[in-house]
Amino acid sequence: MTLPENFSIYNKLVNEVPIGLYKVRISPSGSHELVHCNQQFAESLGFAHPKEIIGKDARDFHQSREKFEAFYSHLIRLEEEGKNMNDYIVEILNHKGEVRKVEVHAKLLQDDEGNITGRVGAEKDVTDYLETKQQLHELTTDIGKVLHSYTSTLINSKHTMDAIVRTLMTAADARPDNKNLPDETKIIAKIYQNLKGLQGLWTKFLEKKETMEAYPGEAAANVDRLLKLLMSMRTEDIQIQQISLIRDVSVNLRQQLKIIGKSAFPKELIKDFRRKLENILRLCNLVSLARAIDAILEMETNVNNLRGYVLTRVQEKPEIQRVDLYDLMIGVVKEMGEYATLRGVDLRLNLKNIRNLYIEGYEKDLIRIMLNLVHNAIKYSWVRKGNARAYIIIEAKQTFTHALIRIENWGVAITKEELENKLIYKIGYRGIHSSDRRRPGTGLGLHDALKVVRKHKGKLQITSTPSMSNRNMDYTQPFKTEVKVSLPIKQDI
Amino acid sequence: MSNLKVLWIEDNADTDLYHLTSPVYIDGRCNLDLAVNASEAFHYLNRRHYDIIIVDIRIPPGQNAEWKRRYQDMTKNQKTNSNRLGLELLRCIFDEKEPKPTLKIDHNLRRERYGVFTVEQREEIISELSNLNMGNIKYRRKNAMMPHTALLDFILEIAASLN
Repeated sequence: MTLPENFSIYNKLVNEVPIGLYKVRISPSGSHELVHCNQQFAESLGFAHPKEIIGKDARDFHQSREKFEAFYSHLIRLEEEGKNMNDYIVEILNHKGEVRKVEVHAKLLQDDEGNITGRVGAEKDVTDYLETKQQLHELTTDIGKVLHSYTSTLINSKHTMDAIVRTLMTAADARPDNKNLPDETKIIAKIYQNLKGLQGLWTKFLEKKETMEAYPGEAAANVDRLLKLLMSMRTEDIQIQQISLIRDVSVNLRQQLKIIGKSAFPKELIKDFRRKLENILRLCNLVSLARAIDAILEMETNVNNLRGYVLTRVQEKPEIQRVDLYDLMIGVVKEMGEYATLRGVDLRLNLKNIRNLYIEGYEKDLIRIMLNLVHNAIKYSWVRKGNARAYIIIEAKQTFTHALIRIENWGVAITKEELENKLIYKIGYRGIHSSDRRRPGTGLGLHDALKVVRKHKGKLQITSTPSMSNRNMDYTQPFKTEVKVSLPIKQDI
Repeated sequence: MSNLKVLWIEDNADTDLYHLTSPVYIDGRCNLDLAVNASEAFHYLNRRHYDIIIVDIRIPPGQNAEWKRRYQDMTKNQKTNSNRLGLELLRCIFDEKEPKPTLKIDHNLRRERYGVFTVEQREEIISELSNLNMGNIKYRRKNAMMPHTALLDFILEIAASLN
């Protein structure tokens, strides 16, 4: 007898498909006899061929009778609800005595009177997959914990530095717009004045040289060399890296002064020199600490957002919430306030149009991406004109169906290619110009923002266009960058 | 020792790691140039003779179109470490597949003049360095425990090995 062509195709399919297929018949005595299975099924149980297991009681393949009963009663319950069993994980005991986890898709078989006569099913061994998934989950949780303690360390370091700044700073060192923050420009000018003062004093020392019997030649030569190194800088050249050099040289000078102090140089001169050195050291420390605080604030936001991003990967999908968008945005602006002040960037808000607007969404995700977007806008802002302060615009409005948020800044460009090729959304990618003025980052913010906006069925649009004065698309010149987030007010979930 | 001409390729050279340069300046035995990205580094290596070149592994591309292209190509190709442009710089100079000569100044083509100063562990980069016949390159790891003379010490270590 020749088999029909369809049967042959079906047979080939059953034997070659890389999942186990089986049929079980329930006998009147209550046994669950395996009446058919394919090669994959036999192999998943550690047998070489289906012939070796057909006729066996399928209940014995389960790790225990209790576990079989749990599986079987769940299958019956689903049948009663008119559903099939999908993705059910069963622990089986294979021929080699190993416990394996298989994902089962099964359906009960019934006769005309509705009596259960057996079941058919498909299964796939997912032991390795589940182990990897579990390891990944644990790893992600651990990374989240490390990032959490890293954030705490950064906060602690920042507060310690704040306290030291307060003890080092006088009213004359403070910024006009914020008396708690040191004015770097003013302090650098003072450092330069003090350096000139040191030079003047040293000239007076040298005038005494001829009249001295025991001249400390080596120490004096060292002072001379170190002062020349310092005086090679002009006030406009003194950058943060020179502050470190000035401090280290001052420490060296203090050591040389101890030697010189033992000589016959007038004590008043020595005292004056030492006083100026101490003042230079205080001012250098103040500038360095202010810069270090700035770096910590910058990094703390990055780390905190990274932590939030990592931890959302291991959390169960949260329930959709009713989110007060106005409150959310005001909270974000408050949190970014200190960073903006430190960076000398004003936040110009126009959020009144979304007052009392509630949207359906995931609050934590929205806060995280808004913090990131506002942080980016501050970070990449330049002063627009002369001595005026830099600013960013945060505004929002609503339509019948959507909330629209727009964040605008003026400064570092995103290139046309980066926008067109969507490179800015790639995980870990940092914009070509994003390291301008050494701004650190994780390359995660826009990737996360796009993901969250899509999760809300919204839209994210980013444009970066040359400013009016920058007609030649010169990327070293200012660009206006706009981020527009459109979020539906209601989610049809 | 006459003055050593040193190039330090390090994107944080004038920010987070500027403390490391002071001992070099105060010591007075080195003329130090800083390159904060791949474009600047390549520019200096083609213009000036250096006795010692210290390379960081993760650096940004800078403004040069070729280096921007390399960076974007690495990103597009989904390479996980697309910002390892320091390695790309070494590859560009020492890879046999690159068109010759790779630098206009032969003096800077001597492998023993180079050192790697990075936060990456040696094991993470050794296979790529070995492919460039630089498996024995002088290496020092940046970390919070290093002394503030770490850069000067490393320069002097490489200098001693050249003599």
